[in-house]
Amino acid sequence: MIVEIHKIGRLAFEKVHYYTVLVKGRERFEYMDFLTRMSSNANYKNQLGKIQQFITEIGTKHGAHPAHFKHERHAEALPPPYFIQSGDVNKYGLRLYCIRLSTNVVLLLNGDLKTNDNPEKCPNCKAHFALANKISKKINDAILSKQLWLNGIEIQWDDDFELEIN
Amino acid sequence: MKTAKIIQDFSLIDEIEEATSDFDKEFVSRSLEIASQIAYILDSKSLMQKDLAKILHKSESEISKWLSGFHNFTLRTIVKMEVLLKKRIITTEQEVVRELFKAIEKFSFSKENMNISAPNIKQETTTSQTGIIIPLVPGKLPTDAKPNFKELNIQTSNTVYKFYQA
Repeated sequence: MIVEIHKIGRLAFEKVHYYTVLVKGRERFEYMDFLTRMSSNANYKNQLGKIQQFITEIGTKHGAHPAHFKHERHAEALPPPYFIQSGDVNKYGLRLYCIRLSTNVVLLLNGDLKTNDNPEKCPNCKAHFALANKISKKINDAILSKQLWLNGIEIQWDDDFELEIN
Repeated sequence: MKTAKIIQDFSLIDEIEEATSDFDKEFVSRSLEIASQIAYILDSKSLMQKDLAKILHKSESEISKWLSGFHNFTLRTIVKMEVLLKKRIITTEQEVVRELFKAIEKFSFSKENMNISAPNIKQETTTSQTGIIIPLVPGKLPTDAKPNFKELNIQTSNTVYKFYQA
């Protein structure tokens, strides 16, 4: 499937510009899908609001430093998929998978309520985790082959480059 | 070369932000601010998270969680870190103003000494020979100020302090 990278104008802050992706054939941008699904559940609204505030705070004041994110695996091999912790004790909470390309550039993808320590065993999160991993790997490969690059806060790529994942 | 298209309509973010309580927003903001300050102190002392973990007899993963920006710090934990790192993590506005006054007294000015006052700060009179900078209610010059005083505005989180220098 083909994945298009889009910048979220509403989340273009002084320190961080946030992007998301549209998987061709899907109705919504991945981050839009996350927000739409999670905001429709009253139990998640509190955590969702905190995650959105967190995104705004690091965007406006701090920058997307590694310490603000956590990765689950492949940290040494690839730009890893990151998630933001809910902060609630004894609960996994919502997970939003992201790809932090630099202190200034972050892709916000999709997520859900995590129900298992291993995201691949979590029925809610495994598809989002897998998609984040695949996109992360493809972007990393494209950066290494100089087909895609960062120009400050902008993600740019060759005219003939397409982000295609299996 | 291509760049990402910009998504302009993401009104759902506004709705989520509006539905988030002021407490939750401020909690995330302050928690991130403290985490960021700790990270800054570690960096300034060329220390890593694992060094802080060792100093505090905590696991590295726990310190990592603290620095993610969602941790509910206790004052006891903060003070313990301040003592061990020999650096302030939280400084109140009144402490900032007191430090500001101390710094100001070190400057040299030609005018005679004058009173210093500021909201919420006990009125003090400088006895130094260095003279005069007067914090005032915004927009008002001291009655005995000369018209050619330079104005210096210092903004803290809650108040604008105006200083007048001859």
